[in-house]
Amino acid sequence: MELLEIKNIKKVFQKNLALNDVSFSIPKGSIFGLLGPNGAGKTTLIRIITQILGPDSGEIYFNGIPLKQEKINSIGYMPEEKGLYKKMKVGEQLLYLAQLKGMSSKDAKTQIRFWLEKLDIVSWYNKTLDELSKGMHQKVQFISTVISQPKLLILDEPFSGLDPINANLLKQEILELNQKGTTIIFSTHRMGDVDELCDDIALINKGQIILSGTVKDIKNQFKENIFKADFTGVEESEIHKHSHFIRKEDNHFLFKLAEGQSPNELLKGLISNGFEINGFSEVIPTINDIFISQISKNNQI
Amino acid sequence: MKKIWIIIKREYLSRIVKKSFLFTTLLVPLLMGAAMFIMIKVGSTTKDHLKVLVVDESQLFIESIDKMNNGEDLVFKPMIESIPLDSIKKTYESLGYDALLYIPNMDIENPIPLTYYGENQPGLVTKSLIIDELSTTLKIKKLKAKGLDESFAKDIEKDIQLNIETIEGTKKGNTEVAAIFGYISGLLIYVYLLFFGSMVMRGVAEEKTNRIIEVIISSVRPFQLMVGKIVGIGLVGLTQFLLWLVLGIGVNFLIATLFKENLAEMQQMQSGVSQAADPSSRDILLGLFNGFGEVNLFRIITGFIFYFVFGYIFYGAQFAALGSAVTDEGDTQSLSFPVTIPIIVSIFLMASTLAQPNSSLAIWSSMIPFSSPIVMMARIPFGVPIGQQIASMVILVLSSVFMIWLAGRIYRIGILIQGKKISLKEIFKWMFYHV
Repeated sequence: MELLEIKNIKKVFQKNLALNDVSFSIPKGSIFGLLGPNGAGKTTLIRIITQILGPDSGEIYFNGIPLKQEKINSIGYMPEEKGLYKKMKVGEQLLYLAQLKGMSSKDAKTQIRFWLEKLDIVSWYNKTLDELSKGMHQKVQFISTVISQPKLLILDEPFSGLDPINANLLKQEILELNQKGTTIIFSTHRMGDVDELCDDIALINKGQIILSGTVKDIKNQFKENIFKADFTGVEESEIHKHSHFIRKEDNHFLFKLAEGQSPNELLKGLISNGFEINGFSEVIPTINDIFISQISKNNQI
Repeated sequence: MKKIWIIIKREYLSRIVKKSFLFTTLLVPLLMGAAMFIMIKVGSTTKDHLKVLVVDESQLFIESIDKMNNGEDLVFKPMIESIPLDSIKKTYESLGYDALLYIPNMDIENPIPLTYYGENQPGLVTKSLIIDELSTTLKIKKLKAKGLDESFAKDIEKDIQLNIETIEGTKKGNTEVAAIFGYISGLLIYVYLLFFGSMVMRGVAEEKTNRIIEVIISSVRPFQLMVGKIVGIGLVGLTQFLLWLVLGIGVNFLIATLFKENLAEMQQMQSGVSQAADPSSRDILLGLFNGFGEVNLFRIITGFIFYFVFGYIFYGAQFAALGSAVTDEGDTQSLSFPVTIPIIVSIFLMASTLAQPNSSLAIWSSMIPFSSPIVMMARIPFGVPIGQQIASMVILVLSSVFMIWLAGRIYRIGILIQGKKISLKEIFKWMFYHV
């Protein structure tokens, strides 16, 4: 079941084609990575989903129904450029933003208490933003995004500016929300996080989707039939002579399967050469590799 | 709609509870009260308390000297003995006099300046009293010398009184008082438009440079946010005005009761002395106290609230639109320029309106929405034909609605543009963009 279906979205800014026929869908309950280089059109797309901008053509379906302004309360958005009122107290600020998302004052207060306790920052309630550090702002900003219990959470670079401990803390909260059923769109340049968190991704470049699907499928699609093996008691020069050997990487030896060859056959060949094998596994491309190779390929066109 | 209320509430409360708001709201009426207090105190102490010896060598003014006596405060005594000026100049103080008025021998056809000797300068009132009284005597004597009857000569001295009745009818008009009220209301609108207008601009620019804007407009429509902000800040201004009104009337009443005698005295002095001296602060003060009875206060206050509200919406919308184009706090000044200019021009138009409230310039500028809030407020105390006021009000309401719509079109684009400095030309283009 898809939570969000994006169909043929097109957006032009003064003769500048920002989004060109963008289509993809986001399964309910998934963590979806929206990836792309700077200026690819990610922010524009997010702004269309959050109803800040309207598309020139195309539709978006939310839970199978065309997305309208009323649904805005079901979407939580944490923009890349974080911002809150500097002179307003944390508690009042959270209450205001929750009410703007349509929450009653009573529900909002319960949620504020819940989250401040959860992140162990109850003492901040009466502090103004001015009194808090940048990392602390980020926590408040995160709470302000999730407080209205949105069905869809859009996080644009949520970890930027956070130290590893706080980034990890936030990651756990995101995973917990996801387990409770929140669908998450996650936009970032930190590919390690994408590998770690995302179930599905879409790769966008120059206003177009160049790749989309589950992380597993995409990785399978881009694997190059390369296997790595570790050996003991073998001369390195012997290995280098093997017909399938391609290169050495981080003390592992990489071999590429020939056309139609199975991994089993490769392994048999290595054993029959008398190599003593300690480990043998397939090399799966990282999202980072795929990102770089696909974007540079796309840019050459 | 509910979300607009939430925004209005925040914009309003976050400013009302500020210390600076409380401070100005309470301080201004207190300062005004203090100024009035000082003016009354000064007004009553400047009344001269003098005993003056008059040496009249001309023998022309003997009978007028008695007339100059003003109760116990101001006593003029003619000198009977004939003592040379040089010696009396040295001794008048020891005889118990504060000053010496020397009238040299003169012919009524060629008056010679008199001389006043004293430790201090005489007050304006005393000075004009001496000049007025003696001049009158001189004129009468001249006329008599031409063979005219004395009663005729006195008759000719009677001044014309101009009574003014305006269309509003019930109250007697008073040009000076109307001018004072016109000036104060026009100026107050001017200050309010600039002050709260730039507050709107700063508020919008703050949300944008803060980047909170993107969070908010993913919850409400930009138009709702803009209108909520304008209304919220407008209510702050209105609250302040109403508090000032209540406090002002309170202070006025307090002073009127506390200084009942001083005021009555000042009034007496004002009617007793002809308007030879310049209109002093005392006259303005008295004008304010008496004025409540002489101008249509109801029409002024309701007019003020109306022109403040819609003038503020008209200009507040423009300030909001320009605030949305601010990309750097430093831009605020240069970007607000095109909006503040018509407001400042209005103040000049107001000055000419006070001099000639029914000139065609005054009438036209009280119709054009850019100047009508200030200029019409200056005209109302003088009495404005109701048809003109209604026309001006309708124009202003329609223009405000149009301006809000136009500002909304600029605002929705402006708030999303970050980084580069924005020119007025670009802002103009935004009106035609679609999002």
